[in-house]
This record gives sequence, structure tokens and C-alpha cells, in this order.
Amino acid sequence: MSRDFFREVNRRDFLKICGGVAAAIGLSEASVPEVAEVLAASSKKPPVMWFEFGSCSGCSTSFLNADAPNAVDVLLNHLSVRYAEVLMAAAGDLSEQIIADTMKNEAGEYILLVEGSVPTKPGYGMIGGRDFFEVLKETASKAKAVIALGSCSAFGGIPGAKPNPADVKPVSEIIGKEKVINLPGCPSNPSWLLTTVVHLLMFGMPELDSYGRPKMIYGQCIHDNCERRASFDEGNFVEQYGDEEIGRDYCLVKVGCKGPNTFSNCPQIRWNGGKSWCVAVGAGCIGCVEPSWPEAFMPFHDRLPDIALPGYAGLRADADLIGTVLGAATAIGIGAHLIGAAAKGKLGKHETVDEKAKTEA
Amino acid sequence: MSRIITVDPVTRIEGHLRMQVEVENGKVVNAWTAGTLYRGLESILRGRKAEDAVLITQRACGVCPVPYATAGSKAIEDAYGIEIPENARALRNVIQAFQFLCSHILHFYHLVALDYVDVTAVAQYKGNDAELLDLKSLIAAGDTAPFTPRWDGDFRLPTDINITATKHYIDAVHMYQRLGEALSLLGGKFPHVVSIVPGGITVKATPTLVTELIGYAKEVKDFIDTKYVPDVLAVAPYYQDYGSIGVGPGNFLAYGGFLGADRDPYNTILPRGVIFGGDINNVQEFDPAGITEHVAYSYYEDGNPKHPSVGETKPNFTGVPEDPRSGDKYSWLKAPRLNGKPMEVGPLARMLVRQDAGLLDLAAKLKIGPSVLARLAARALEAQLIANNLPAMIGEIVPDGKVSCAQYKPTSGHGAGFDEAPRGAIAHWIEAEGGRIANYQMIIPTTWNAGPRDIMGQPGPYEQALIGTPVKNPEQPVELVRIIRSYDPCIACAVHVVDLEKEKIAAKFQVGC
Repeated sequence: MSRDFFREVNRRDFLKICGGVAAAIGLSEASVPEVAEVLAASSKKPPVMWFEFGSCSGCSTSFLNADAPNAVDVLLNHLSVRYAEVLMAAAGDLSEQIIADTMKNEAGEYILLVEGSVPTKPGYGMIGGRDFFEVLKETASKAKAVIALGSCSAFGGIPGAKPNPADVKPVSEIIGKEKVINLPGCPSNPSWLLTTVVHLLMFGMPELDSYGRPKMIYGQCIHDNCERRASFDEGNFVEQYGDEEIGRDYCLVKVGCKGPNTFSNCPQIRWNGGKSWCVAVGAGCIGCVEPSWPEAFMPFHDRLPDIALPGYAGLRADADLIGTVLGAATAIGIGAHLIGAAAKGKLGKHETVDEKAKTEA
Repeated sequence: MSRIITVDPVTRIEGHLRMQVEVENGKVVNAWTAGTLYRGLESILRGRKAEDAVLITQRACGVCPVPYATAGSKAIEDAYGIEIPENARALRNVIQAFQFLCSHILHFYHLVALDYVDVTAVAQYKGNDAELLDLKSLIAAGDTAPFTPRWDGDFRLPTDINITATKHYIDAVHMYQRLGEALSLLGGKFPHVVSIVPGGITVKATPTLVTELIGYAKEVKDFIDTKYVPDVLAVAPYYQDYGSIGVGPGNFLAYGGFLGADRDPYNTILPRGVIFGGDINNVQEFDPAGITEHVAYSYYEDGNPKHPSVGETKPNFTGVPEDPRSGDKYSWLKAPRLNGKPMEVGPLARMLVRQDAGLLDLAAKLKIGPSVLARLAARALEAQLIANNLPAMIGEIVPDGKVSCAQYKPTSGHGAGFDEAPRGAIAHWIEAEGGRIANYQMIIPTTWNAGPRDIMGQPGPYEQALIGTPVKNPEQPVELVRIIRSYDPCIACAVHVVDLEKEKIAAKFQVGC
């Protein structure tokens, strides 16, 4: 199998394959031996330093929720985690020593994982008496690749919402985009991290969208693959939490589901061992992987007022296309897919989402 | 001659903590603990729709987000006069129970155990467990990060206990993952659940869900009964001195959790109550009016101690003091007090307020005070208590597909939501105007435990627990980190406690949907 393997398969197969990573680190059953060969061929486990800056530790606990490969397997057999404040035995000066040693002995080899927001106001986030942003710049300088894990480090996340009290900035703004892979999500799904690491080891940098996110993970609209899409197409909606309709697995768009504006493979790989995901429990997607999240996605439980997206009706927009519009707009709407569906009359017996929004505005 | 020892970062805790102590004649005579991160979640909440607080405040803590969702929802329900349906109460208790269990298990094995358990003993492992053999070969190859490097001075367990506990450390990761599955069935995903909303919970209580939950409840009970509790009891005798190390101020506070059908916080498996001055058999009623927050040593503009519902604070970072004895501000945490006293919250506080016979008997048998060991034991026994009660909690769910959410109209009002988190008492206060947040405050467990000195100069609970501790090796002060870790700190949560000035909501927040 060549390094061009991923380029030779279409997106659908590709996503399926990525889902398979969560089943057996092995992309697909056929490539399991390949993965094993690559991993075995390296003389030692790739070194990793995992920093938590302005984080809630949620991306760390999310990693512990990995199921295949599970976190023990990863720690014992696949990665050499040198620095990780929540896991490592060391503390204080000894942990500072680990940073120095890894930078010296494994320069250009270690993967830097960054979890949490990076405040740029001096004193608003410190490790060992040094500002986070200084620690980031220093450790990134010798890293092979930098993975911004979770929406905080990728885009600012919740701490970056207005008024952005600690003046946090995305990792890519502090150290440049060059070797940064963004894996947003609140938290990031452990499968996304493992898929990306496997790709890095086997094939190098994955193909990224204009927000630095691997297309293999963030390339498809949630709404397109949603298990409740049939309800949407038939015009069956939950109007309010507490409705009897919530028991019938109706579409959640009217109680604020942001699936039509959100791009990830959540509907396919789901969460926590594939057991569930946000839509499955009747609350809807909150859009946590998007660059303009959370600001453009609040109020979380409200349908957002639509914006005009001329020419988009009926198109299958991708994240880059939608994102251009979102970035320029002060408020975002249900988006291309709803308008497309409305134009085709798919909302059926119910009023269209657009009309409802206009009535309320 | 005294010297200052600084440990920064204190690892294997949630968040960023700097600890400094002054050691004289081998004993800690003074201590300072400081939160070193500020995110300011409350100021982000200003002007938002009240319901958004339930999702935003969970991001305070990715280890225990569920209590933020419940406390936030309760505060809004209090402000709006909403009563949640019985099925919602039952489902929230169950999701909270799984949250407590995964947090407690994570704490003992992954945050604390490496202080006591020598993982490298696995080099002498003779069995055929695949994961231990993987670890054994790594030890042979010298590739043992993140278990090394470490402070090596004080491992006392015999080889067989070290190996068993290491195996259980690995098993606990798998257990954590399984509990995450149970939490995702109820919350959509874990960490950070989406199903808890003001009015109740959105998840559909299907017979399939209930059946699956019963399976997870059985699995975790087995883990706690056969591994967690026995491991704590096996380790304790080798660290008997920690039965008198790390004794805090002796004041304990619990708000009460896992409310029953009568919704009375004094009538639950983990009831509400207060203990003062180490008088552990004298449990008193809790009066929320007695809470004040102090900022004399915190990075906020000075002001008199205030009740959280009228607090006003602005960030004011004045630098890290070169010498902690300088009397300068040193922490991003504020210092909450009840009736002017620093309070310990968490499993030990809850189990004492509960007057738990199992814990009191164990403490008498092992001759331990409200110390490091007492905290570890209280947490394990509390996990067992919750696991024992979990089947009954699941039994309260009515699996008939009835909706578990009340409908309501957003309005204006003041509300408070009190609950228990794995790490201790948690409370949210909200002032809503026309459905929007005018003011939002949280006092969360670690702020109680890890807060700095107050305006009277009284050290916080961590600081008091550190003072008096003998330190054998100032280069590797393992005693001190063991004390801090026994509380299960969550610093990222704690530093969010920033009150907003009360101010009218700007018109710009009124537009939109």
C-alpha cells in the first residue's frame, strides 16, 4: 500500500476507514497488518508532550474514554507520553526537567499536544512561573507536529467567547499555522486524535481544510448523515423540550440543533465507544467543532436567525464554503441545507424554518 | 533557619496549582497554595440566555461537568419557579451517580496511586496478564514514561500489592471508559453532557436504556467491591502516618445531593449539614446567608467580603510574589468562608455530615483523624455507598417513554442551585432579567478547599492541612503533594469564581431569536 492510499479512495470509503480506526487502530481490517508493520518498524514509540494550558482537562478525560485502541493500549504500546500533567508521576522541578530533556534529546521527533486555551495576557495562565504562551512557543519550536486538541487550543473555544476575558488566542496564531493540526471539539473525540496520530505516523500530515482541520474527520456536514434526517425531510420536528414529539425521535433543528452548520463525523463514529452522541439523547448538536463556536452558535437551544445564502440552495456545501459565509456574518443561520430543503419543499406540512424565524424576529 | 520550598506545577490534579511552604527544622511552618490560571467564565455568561449557562459552566471542569449542569439548571429552575418531573429527578440522580463513580475511581488510581504504588515492581511480575507483560517489557526497555521519572523516596508496599494495584490502575482506565459509555447514554457524550436542561432532562427513558444502565451499575459495583475499596484498605496500613498528616481546619460543609422524591436535602443518602471545630458528632444546619467571599490575597480589586449574590470583583493581576511571606496577593482563587470560617468540602465532609458508621468505625480502628488517609477512605466508601444505591436510583426511572422535561416561559428572578460534585459542595447563583443573565456566580468545591488567606489572614483548608507537616527531603517533598492530592483538586473550576458587577443588560442582547 502506497502513501497515496488515502488519495486513491473516495471520501465515503475514506470516512468509513477512519471510523474503522476506532475499531482496531487498523484503518480497515485489510490494513491492520500494514499499521502493525509501520508501528513495529519504528525503533521506539513516538514521544509526545501533552500540555494542558487554559483547559478544563476535558480533552484528557476524553482520551481516557478511547475504546479501540483504548487508552491503556495507546500508552503502553503506541505513544511514549513524556509530559502530561494529569498522568505523569513527576511534579515541580522534575517535570520541568522532562520538558528540557525531551526538547534536547528528541528535537524534531516529538509530537506536541496542546489542550486548552492560551491566554496572551501575562500572568493569566502559568506553569512553573512561566506564561503558557512562552512555554508553547518554546516547546513548539522543536516539535515534529503540533496538535491543537479541542476547540480551546484550536480556535479559542469557550474561554474565547466575548468578552474573551484572558485574551486567549488559537495556537496557530501564536506559533504560526505551519505544523499545526486542529482537532476541535468540546471535548475532542478520542478517535479524532488517534486517527490523526496514525495518519501522521503512516502517511505524514493529513489533508487539512482552511481551518487546519483534517478533512477525513471534519469533511462532512452532520445534518447530511444524521440519524434523524428522515424526520427533517418529512417535516417532523420537536417544537419544544417537553413535547411528546421528543419521544418520537423527531428532528431537533427547532430546539436549536446546529447539525446543519456543523462539520464532523460525529453521526458515523459517535461517542464513548460508539454508544451515543448529542442528537441521540434528544438535545441536538451544539456545533462545538466549528471555528466560530460558541459565539455564533448561542443561544444553544434556539434556532438561529437565517442569513441569506444566495445560490447555495440545493448545493452540498463543504466546511470551507459555509465557513467563509459564517466568518463574515455577525449571526449565522440554519444554513445552506435547510434553505436547500425548504426550496425543494421538503419541510412539507410544517411551515418552513425560515418563515418561522422571520415571524419571530 | 527556614527555607521556602516551591512545587510548581503540582501535577496529577485537574488544573494549575503552585504550592509554596516555609520549612523550619524539618517541619512546615507556613504554606501558600495558588491557582495559576484565569479564564473568567462568568463574564462570558453576562447577557446570554440563562439556559446557555448549563452548557457553558460545564466547561469549568472536564472531569466532573455533570454537577455544573445540575447546579446551573437548579439555579434557573429556582429563579423561574420550575418544578422538574419525577422522571427527570430520577434520571439526573443516575447520571450524577455515574459521574461520581468515574471521578472517584479516576482520582484514586490515576491521580493518587502513583504516590504510593511502585509501578516498576511489575518488573518482577511472573503471571501472564497481557497488559502487565506489556508494561514489564517497557520497564525492561527503560521506556516507562509517564510513570517515570518520579520522586523515588517513599514507596513502602510489598511487591505483590504493588503489582495488584498496578493491574487495577490499568483496569480502572477500562472501567472509566465503560462509565463514560453509561454517561453518554444519559448525556449524549462524556465529558460535557447536552441532555440536562432547565426543566429536566431531554433523554428518553426507554426500557433499553434502563436495562443497559442496570448492567453498568452491576459492573461498577463489582469493581468498587473487589478492587477500589480493598486496594485503599490494603495500602492504608503501610502509610499509617498519613492518618495524622494533612489535617485541615476541622470545619466541614455539605449541601446535600441525590435528592429523593420529597426533594429534601436533609433526607438523602448524602445529606446537607455543617460541622465546626472538629466536633465531628455535632452536625448543624447549613445557612446559605453565612457565605462570604474574600479577595484580600486574590488577584482581584480589593473590597469587603460579600455574599456571592451581591459580589463585585474585577481581575487585578499583581504578579507572583518573589517571597510568599511578603503579604502580597498570590492566587487567582478567592477565599470563601462560612460564618467567617474556612470549610473543607468533599467526600470526607459528606461522609462526616452523614455520620457514616462505616467510615467512623474504620477511622477508630485505624486510629486516623480527618487526614490524608481519611479523605482517601471516605472517597472509596462513598463510591461504595453510591454504587450500592444505584440500582434503587435506576429503579426510580419510569421506563414508559414519558417526557422528562417541564415546559416553561423564561422570565426574571433570582435563583440559587445547590448540589454536590465529586469534589464537594457546589452552588450557582443567577439573576435573570427577561430570560437573560444579569448576574451569575459559582462557588465550587475547590475554591472552598484551595482558596488563599482571607481578610483576617486565616489560611485556607489546603494551607492549614500543609502546616505542621514533617518534610523528610525538601528536594522531594512527597508528603506535601500527597496532602494536596488527597483533596482531589480541580483548579480550572476554582478560578472561574469571578462575580460580575450587577448591571443592566444592554439592549444589544435583546435582538435575535
